[in-house]
Amino acid sequence: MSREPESETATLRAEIAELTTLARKAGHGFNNVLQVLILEAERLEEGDIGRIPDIAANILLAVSRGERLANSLLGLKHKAGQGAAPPVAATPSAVQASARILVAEDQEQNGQALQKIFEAAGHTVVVAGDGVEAVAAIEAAPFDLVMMDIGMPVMDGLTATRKIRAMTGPRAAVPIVATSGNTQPEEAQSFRDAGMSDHIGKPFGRAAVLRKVDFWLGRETAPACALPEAGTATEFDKICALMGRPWALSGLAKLTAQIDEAFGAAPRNGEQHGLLASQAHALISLASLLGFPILSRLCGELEQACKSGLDLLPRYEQAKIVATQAQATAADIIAAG
Amino acid sequence: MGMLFMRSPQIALIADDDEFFRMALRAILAGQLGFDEVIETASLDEAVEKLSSRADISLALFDLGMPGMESPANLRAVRDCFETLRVAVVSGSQCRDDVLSALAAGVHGYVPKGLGVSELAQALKLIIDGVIYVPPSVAVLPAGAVIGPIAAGRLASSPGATLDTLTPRQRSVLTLLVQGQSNKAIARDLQLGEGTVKVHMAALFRSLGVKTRTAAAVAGGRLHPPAS
Repeated sequence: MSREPESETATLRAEIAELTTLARKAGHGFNNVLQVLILEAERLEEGDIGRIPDIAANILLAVSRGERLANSLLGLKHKAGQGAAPPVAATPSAVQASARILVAEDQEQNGQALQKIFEAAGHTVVVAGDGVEAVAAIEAAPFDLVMMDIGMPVMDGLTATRKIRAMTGPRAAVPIVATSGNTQPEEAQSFRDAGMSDHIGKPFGRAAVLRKVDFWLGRETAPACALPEAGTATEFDKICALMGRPWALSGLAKLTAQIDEAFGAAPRNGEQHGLLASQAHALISLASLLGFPILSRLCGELEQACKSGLDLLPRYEQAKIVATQAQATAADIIAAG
Repeated sequence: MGMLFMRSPQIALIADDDEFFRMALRAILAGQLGFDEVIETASLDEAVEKLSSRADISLALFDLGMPGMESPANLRAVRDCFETLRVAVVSGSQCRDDVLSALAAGVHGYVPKGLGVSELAQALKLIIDGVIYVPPSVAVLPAGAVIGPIAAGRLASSPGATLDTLTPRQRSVLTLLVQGQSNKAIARDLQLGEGTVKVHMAALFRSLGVKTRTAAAVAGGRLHPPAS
């Protein structure tokens, strides 16, 4: 099932051009996405097919701020990442007064807790105890949203999601939000590949889950991070719970300042390489503690590149894009107070 | 009916000069892993002093980027001198050679700083429970990897030490050793516990590649600049 690399590049280039046009038309609010797209499109001009997965990651990061280009971009990502699953079909629907939510959760207390929260918010809730029940529920009646636990007996959340996405008709496009604890970035990738729309990490608070649900029900366009990447509510909430919100906010300010220092200008000589190496090193732990795992990883790779001298400028540019996004996310969180 | 055993207080020690990370680590150890006391130090010398002066520390976490951590000899010395202490490296580096060098030095775990809060807590819990934790990335072989002795990495053992690789305390101890002083006398002169001096001595032996005091004094004498 392999395509000619050249036609892949051409297709990707065309799609990015189309999305860039769309983003321009949408105007204010899409500036970040536009910036990322233009930068990545420029990279593609060099015929650098090998960087396509990185493009996908960067676009997803731009998407994590909640812009509605999510759908097209995720489709693009699937093409780039050679994912077997179909693109995530769900788009936030028109605003609804009360929604039908399917909660797939094998732990009774968790299911009941979610049911209480959603019913108090005016929604109708059906609870499924495993993946088989969840799939049957979707087949039987339409739902507006699914909260899908990953680890369930009989059939797990990923399998159930794949089965739902494979159905025919609009039911296959229902927004599916994964709920799981301690998600690694690689796991989040598997959620995306299975066709999940979003993710929320356990334990989550009432406000966080309602914000997430409101986004997918079309009520809210504010940051409702699709999939746990840079500075998401999940990881940041954890550090707030651990250290207190004021500490975490001052951490974000520190992160922003350190990013400015490290990525002010590209390093030109050996001395600057050394300085950048230590700046990147310092960012590794700070970024990951505050919920920016991709930035953390890229800074680790940048540090290595500074020391070996191999691949330095590309890694610098890559980390810089992600770092700039992180600053924007940090600014949002700080502004929200 | 069984007896209720009083749980003895669990004490952990952190050796890291990154204050921000230290704070988060302290919160995880105290808040999530049940440690009653967390001692913070910012250098190897400080850590060794604390470890020698207290018998009740059960876990020690060392950052690789800290002063004094360039040589694996120091971790070996800590492992040798504090047999029941669980020792782990917490590092910004995920480099495979660093992980392997740390393991060769006998650590009970290598925890990358790039883990998020929950993953950090999980890794530390495993180490406390007796599991040797290594990051999954250690199983990723670099392209064209040659199976051979661990050559690269921050902790690569070098054939000979220079004054630069010794910590300030170690240099002081070495100076006095070269002058022929006993451990007791060194301890008195530097106002350290004798136990502390023994750890520094153990690390010095390893760094210098020797097994006796005499050999250490000779090797140490060569390292020192000529008296002016």
